[in-house]
Amino acid sequence: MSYKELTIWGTLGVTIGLLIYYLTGINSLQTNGNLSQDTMVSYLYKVVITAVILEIIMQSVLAGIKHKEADLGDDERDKLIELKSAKLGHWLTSAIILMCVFLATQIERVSGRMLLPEVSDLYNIMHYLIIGFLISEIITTASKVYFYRRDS
Amino acid sequence: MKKQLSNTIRELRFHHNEMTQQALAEAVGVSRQTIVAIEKGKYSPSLEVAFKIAQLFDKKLDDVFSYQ
Repeated sequence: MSYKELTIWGTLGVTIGLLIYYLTGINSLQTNGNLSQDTMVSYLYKVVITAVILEIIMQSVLAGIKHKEADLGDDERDKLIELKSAKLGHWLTSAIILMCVFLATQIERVSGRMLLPEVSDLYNIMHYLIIGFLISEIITTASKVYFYRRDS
Repeated sequence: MKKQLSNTIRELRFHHNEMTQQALAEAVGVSRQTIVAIEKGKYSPSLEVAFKIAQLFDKKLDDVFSYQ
């Protein structure tokens, strides 16, 4: 398996792990009765820092193992696959943002009936956006894996 | 019937001292996986890469690639 494919599998694993880590963390805070806007934000920072550290470790380990390929950079096929996946990611992210904008316009109707009643509506929308972005990233990265596997 | 791009790269490599896919990839500046995909006809290379491959084997473009 090429360096490029390995990093994509790694990123996919890290992103799925982060989604699970975020959802279980928020769920655990809610179950223990500790969920508030402050705990939610501090947990979010924790998730972001974990994401950055995991990505750096993964990239460094893979670059160390496959240093020759890592120095080569992207060729034309890599760029094409990157573009196809980015296009998909763009559509998904746009759809998620539009859904959240729609939700914001209906805020008076849905207020108090959102997933996390412990925090404000704004934080609930932020919660949906985070989940949406992570799912969008997972689908985008999975599409890259698909394009690489299909052509090899 | 839908036309497809086919090539003789595998055969040309064989006649050039069984050149490896890795060596060809390095010579034309792409990854080995891209050469694998081109050989299998699953990826159509850019004109630049197609010309580089043809020149490397000292052939004309349509001796290496055909569209039928």
